[in-house]
Amino acid sequence: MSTEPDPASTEAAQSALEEVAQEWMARSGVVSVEVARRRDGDVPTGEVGIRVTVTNKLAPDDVPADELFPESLGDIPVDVVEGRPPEPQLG
Amino acid sequence: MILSNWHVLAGASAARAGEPIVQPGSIDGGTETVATLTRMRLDSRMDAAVATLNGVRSHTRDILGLGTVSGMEAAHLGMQVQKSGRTTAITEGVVDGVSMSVNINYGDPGVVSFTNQIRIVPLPPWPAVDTEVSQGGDSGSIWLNKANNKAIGLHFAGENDPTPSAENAICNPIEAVANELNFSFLPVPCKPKPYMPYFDICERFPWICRQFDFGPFRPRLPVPDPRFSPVDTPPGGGLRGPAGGLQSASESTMSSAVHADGDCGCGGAIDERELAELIAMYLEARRR
Repeated sequence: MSTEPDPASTEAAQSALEEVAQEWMARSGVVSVEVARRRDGDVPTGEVGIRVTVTNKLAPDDVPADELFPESLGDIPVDVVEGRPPEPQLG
Repeated sequence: MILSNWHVLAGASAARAGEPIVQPGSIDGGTETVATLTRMRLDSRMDAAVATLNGVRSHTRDILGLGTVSGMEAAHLGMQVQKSGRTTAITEGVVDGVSMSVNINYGDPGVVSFTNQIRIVPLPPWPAVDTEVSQGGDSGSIWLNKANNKAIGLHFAGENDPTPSAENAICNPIEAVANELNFSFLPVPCKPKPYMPYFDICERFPWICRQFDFGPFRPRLPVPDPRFSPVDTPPGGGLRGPAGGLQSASESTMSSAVHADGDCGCGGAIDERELAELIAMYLEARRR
């Protein structure tokens, strides 16, 4: 599968993310939100989705209902992954 | 000019334009001032700064190992990119995320909430094994589209996670940086500035003042100062250190020499006959 998503998919995901980015970034443990290539395991695919990076991914049952991320925004899939906060790369 | 990050060239809330920039950076043992901090910005869009070269060191517009930046364009998902940095040198990657919102802790100024940023991951094979797309010290590098050498991002952040699949770099969209800090990767057409800077014509041409019998009157006419040399278009990006490698500014990468409108001196020479005519016109205007 191509890893170059089509621009229309990216634009649709950008519009969907714009509506929720500020509110999602305010949730506890959220490192970043972005429009990203989805992954099949560790390998990027050509599909576009919204990626939410959190410091500690919990099972859905352990997340308060008002902080649980949806599986999709309309047709746009939402993936929640774990990751550390980035840092400025000074020497 | 030098382009790098705010956290490289300024680095503290108290930083002000005019502060000296040493190269290599102080952590790398550098002591020679090569530029002065000119413009800087740390906000939701960018971590960026430019400094004006003072001429003590020759420079080239080429980026070490990557050549000349051919312009700018927006990044898109899947675009293959490369950069040349102080720590990891030349690395290749692919744009994996756009329209990214992320909070980054800067210590002194606190946590900065960025929006519309770009995430880059290593090129396949993926996940990267023993591959760092960037590390500390690479800040200030320019990410270029591999296909055409156009700049797409100003590198400023990355992760410190040893997990190969977590390897990534983050950069500011370069077009926003260039617009805000007023620079171009391409030579800027020189716009004549005949009124900059002023100097006292009677100091330079005393015989003219005597001829027109100015007496105590010493006009300050808008005449270019011949001591102000126009800035030549550099022949080719980054400053080169003694070993030929791209050296650091403060502690990171000074990406490349860039051009700004303010670089153009364009004072030009003026002959004395033209000056005499200018003075005559000036005196005529004063008499009306």
